[in-house]
Amino acid sequence: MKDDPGAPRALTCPNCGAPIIVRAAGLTVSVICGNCGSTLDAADPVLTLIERSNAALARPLIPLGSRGSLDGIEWEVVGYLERSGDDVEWEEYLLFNPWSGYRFLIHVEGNWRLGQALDRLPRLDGGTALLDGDAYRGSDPYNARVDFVVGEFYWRVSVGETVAATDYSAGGTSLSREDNAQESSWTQLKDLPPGTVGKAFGLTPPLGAGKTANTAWRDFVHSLIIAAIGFAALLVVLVAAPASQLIAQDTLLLEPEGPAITRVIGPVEIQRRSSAVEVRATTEVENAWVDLGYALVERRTQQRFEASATAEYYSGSDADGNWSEGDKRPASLFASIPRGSYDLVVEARAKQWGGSFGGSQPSVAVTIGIVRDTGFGGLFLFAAIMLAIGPAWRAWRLYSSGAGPDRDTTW
Amino acid sequence: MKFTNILFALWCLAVVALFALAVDRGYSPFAQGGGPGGRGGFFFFGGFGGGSSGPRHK
Repeated sequence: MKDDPGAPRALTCPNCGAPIIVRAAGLTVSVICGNCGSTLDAADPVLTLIERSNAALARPLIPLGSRGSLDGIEWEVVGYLERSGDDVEWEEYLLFNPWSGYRFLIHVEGNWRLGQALDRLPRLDGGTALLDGDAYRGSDPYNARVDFVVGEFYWRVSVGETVAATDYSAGGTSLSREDNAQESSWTQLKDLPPGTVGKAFGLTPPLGAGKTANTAWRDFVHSLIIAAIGFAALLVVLVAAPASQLIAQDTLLLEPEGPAITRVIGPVEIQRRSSAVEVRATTEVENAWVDLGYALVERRTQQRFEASATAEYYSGSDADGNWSEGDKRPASLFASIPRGSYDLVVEARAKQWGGSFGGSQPSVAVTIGIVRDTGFGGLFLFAAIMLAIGPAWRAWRLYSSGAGPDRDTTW
Repeated sequence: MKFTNILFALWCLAVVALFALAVDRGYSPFAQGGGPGGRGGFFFFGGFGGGSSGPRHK
C-alpha cells in the first residue's frame, strides 16, 4: 500500500516497543524514538535499527506534535534538534505543514527565529552574501554539531553529525549556510517578536523542572559548580600536603658598611623525593639594607642551589608627606630540592642609606630561618585563578547577552 | 552536559592534578632557586649581583 504524503502512520520501535507516530509519512526518512532514543529508518517497513542514541534525556520546550500558527500558517512540530557551535548551543524545531512544507524554528540564547530553506543561492561577495538586494555580513565559520535529536526529519540525521556553518546577518534577518561533504544548504531566518512563539503554541515559560530556557545562565551556573568542585579538590590537596616545618634557625650580627660575613646553617634534611625549602630572613633595619646570598649545598655530592634576597626598609618625608618602603622579612623559595642532607651557606652584608635621610645605627641582627615543605600559597592562588577562568568567561557572556535567571526567554 | 562544560571540567581536573603533583614534588613556578622551575639566584660568592639597593622612592 502506498502512503499518502502527510498521512500519519503508526509504528512500533523494534528496540523498546514504544509506539512511534510518523506524522509526515512518505516524506520522513529517519525517525528517532522518543522513549529510547534509537534512530529508525522510516523507509524500511521492518524499521531497521540504524543507530542507537543515548542522548534521550532532554525534552523540547515545545512538545512534539504541538500545533501553532506562525506567519498565518498552522504548523506542527515534528522534529527537535539540540545543536552546538564553538561556544554556543541552540535548539531547532522542525515544523511541518502538508501544503507549505517545512520550516525551522530556532531557539538561541532566549531568542526565537523562524527559518525557511532557500531554493536559490545567494551571491557571495567576499565575506558578504547578497540576496534580493540585501547584503548580509558574514561571521567566522564554525562547526555545528548535533547533540540531541528526537522526532522525524526529511533528511538523515544522527547525534554527532557535524557540518561547517557560517552565519550572515542583516538586522533582524539572517542567512545560515551549512556545508557537508555532499551539499551546501542555505536557510533564511527572521527574528520573531517577543511573545510570538508562546502565543502561537499556547505555552507558558517552564517553571522549575525541565529544560531551562536561558542557556547562558545555565552555562554560568554549570561552570560555577564545576569550578567549586575543583576548588574543593584544591583545598583537599592543600590540607593533605606535608606540614611545613622550621628545621633550622640562626642569627647573624652585621656591622653597617662592614665586611660581608659567611655562616653555615645546617643540616637541612630532605627526606621526601623532593621538597620545597624556604629561607626566611627577619631583621629590623631602618634606612638600611642587608644583602643576603644563599647557597643550599648537598653535603655528599656538593650539588648547590643558589638564591638571594635583600632585607630593607626606608622611610622619610617629602612634599607629599611621610613615606616608607621596603621589606624587612624577605623570603626566598627553593623548589624541588632532591632528597639529601644539605648545608645552607649564607653570606650577608649590611649597608646603610646615606644622604640627608640616613643616619648611623648600631649593628644589625638578621635571623635566618629554614622552613621545609612550604611555599604552596602562591601556587594555590594561581591554581584557583585558573579554575575561575570558566565562570568568569561565562559571566562575561551572561553580562553581554543581558540575560538573567528571571529574564530567560522571549516567549 | 554541554561540550564546553565537559572541556572546562577536564581543564579543572588538569589544574587540580598539576597542583597535587607540584605539592608532592615541592615544585613552585614562583621559586627563586632550586630544581625545575627555580630560576637560580643573583648571588655569587665574592660579590652580590642583585643590582643596586637603596630606596626607590622619588
